[in-house]
Amino acid sequence: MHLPRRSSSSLLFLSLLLIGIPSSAEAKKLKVVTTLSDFASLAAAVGGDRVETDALAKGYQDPHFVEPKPSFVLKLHDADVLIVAGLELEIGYLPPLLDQARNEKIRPTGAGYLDASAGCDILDKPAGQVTRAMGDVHPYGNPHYWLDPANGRVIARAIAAKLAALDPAGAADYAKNLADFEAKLKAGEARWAARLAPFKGAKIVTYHSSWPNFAKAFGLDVVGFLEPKPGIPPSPQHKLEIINLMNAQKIPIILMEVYFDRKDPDFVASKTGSTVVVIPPSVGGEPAAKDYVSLFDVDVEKIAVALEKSALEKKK
Amino acid sequence: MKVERSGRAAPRLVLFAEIFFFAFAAGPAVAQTAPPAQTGNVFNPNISVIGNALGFVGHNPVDNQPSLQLKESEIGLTAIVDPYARADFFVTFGSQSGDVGIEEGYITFLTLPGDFIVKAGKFKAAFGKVNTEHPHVRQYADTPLVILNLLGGEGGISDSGLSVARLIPMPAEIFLEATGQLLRGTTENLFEAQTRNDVEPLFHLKAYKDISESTNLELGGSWTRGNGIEGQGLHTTLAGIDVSFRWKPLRQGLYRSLLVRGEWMQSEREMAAGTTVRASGWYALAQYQLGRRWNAGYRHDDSDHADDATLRDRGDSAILTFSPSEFSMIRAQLRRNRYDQAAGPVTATELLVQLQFIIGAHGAHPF
Repeated sequence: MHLPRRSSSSLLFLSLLLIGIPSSAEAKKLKVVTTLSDFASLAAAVGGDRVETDALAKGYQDPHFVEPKPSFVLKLHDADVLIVAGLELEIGYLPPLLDQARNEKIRPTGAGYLDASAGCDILDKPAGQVTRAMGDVHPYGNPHYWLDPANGRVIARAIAAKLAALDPAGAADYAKNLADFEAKLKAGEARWAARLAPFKGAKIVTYHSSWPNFAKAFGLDVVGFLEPKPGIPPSPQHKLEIINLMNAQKIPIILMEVYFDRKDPDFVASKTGSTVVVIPPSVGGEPAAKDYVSLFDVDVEKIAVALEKSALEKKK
Repeated sequence: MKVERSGRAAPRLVLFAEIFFFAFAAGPAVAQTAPPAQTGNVFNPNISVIGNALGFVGHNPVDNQPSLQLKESEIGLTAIVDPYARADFFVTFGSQSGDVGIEEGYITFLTLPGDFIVKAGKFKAAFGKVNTEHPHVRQYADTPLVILNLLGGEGGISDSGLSVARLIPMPAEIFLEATGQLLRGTTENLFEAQTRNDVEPLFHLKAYKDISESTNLELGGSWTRGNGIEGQGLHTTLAGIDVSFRWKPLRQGLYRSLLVRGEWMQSEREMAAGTTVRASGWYALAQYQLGRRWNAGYRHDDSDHADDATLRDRGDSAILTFSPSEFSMIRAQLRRNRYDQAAGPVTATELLVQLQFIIGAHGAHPF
């Protein structure tokens, strides 16, 4: 359809390049693509109406196993900023997408690339030699670090700095939005700490090792995993070990991400009298977890309710 | 750890800097952390090795494979060349003596203007789906009959040449990529360039659209023409269509998925006798994921012989795959092929058992 006009439009484009970007382009929003919905939520909070955000993975999807769909190539092709979790969380899908995206800005060497893990408190860094006998272990540390609100603050600040560098005209807006977000987060932290204060040191078992930062932030103690090794589904032998462990230590809850199968956790719960708590590990993991702050509201409330119930049952 | 720390500093620096400025700023910043004792290894390519042990049980007089073999195992070496390009090498080896070859070896220029990606070297030609795939990402242990019959054999079209691929802007979030390749024109049993002018042009168009967040559709069209094996000036022309439908509900993505794929190809071979043989073939594949580690599949094959379209081979396969982890897989394929031979049809029923394992760098998930 556009073929006859092509030469004239490309001439126009060239001349625009030569005389500089027109003022209408200044009003154009920065396109921020993120791998995780959590970073998209933080970018939306900091960027306000100066940015458009889009996350590749859904909050109810296992972030390790995102497929490299060609539709993601299109999103990355048009992106001004790319925010990734790093620590090799995206190693299975992002490298081929970036190779096809034809967008130098958002490659790891580009100005629009942001590795959100920079400056965050990263846990579970393996000491000594790493082999795949340990399962799907991440040599640079546990990539689920966004589940600590303190890390969320670090990421939000990094996003504000990145956006301000790419769009200096919006620097004041970004600084104001960041201050607003930090105030909300601070209020949230006080709220969550108060809600979970009665359960400080509570022992829990989780399905995958997604929660070390969360547990550290809220004073929970993760004593075991349903997965015998990261990424390896529960074996009968391991389930037995976990049942024995949970019975011996009277562990009240099993924390499970929304994208795993309930069968194994339900089985273990039936043998131990514990409660399976299914919580979203990312924004959008369930409708109520609509942004970064409400994600913690949802998760904290569900855990608190389950721990309260088990405490009541113990008294009986 | 030190490498990681300097990696963290890099994005912030780039914030303020053009590339040339970066060079100045990076100097002192990197100097603060002690440099690695030996920088040589830092720039070594990522290495991966894929082992593929394949066993055959049963009798097949037409395609007589050994009972057990290390087949098309692959060493992959990939790295960034410089700010403009990356390079990929795949060396394959098998258990037969002399069974070593460069499956692919190419440089890819990723940062060209105009949405182009240019590739040069030896690579799998962009003809359909199977022909572009390395064997380890396939949903079955063998090669569909249409590839064996019409694309010259197991290796398909893998040739030296130049490839240019461009994204074509489309409405409605449709992905459309046009690829043009110029190949040397030599593929065993298929093309044989007699002179330097006998190059083989190839065109491929790939369209993809997300139907919903869990379903998508991919369509491809391919065309190529080269000097055939019948002699100088006698051409072989190939055309193909491929369709893939995928379903993967994201919430249960670890446990459930479906792939339905079909490919149809046509070969027009100019024969020494002055005639043209028009042969066609296709396969259809369905793979359903039963659980986190289990996949079941079915494939039907149907293909004329490229040099005699009155002969048509057919086959059916039932496939069961178990993956203990992302890095290993064991597969059983029960295959019944009916080969049309000039002397009469031959039916072969075989059990293929495949054990595949990957060590080294983490590759991309197949899609």
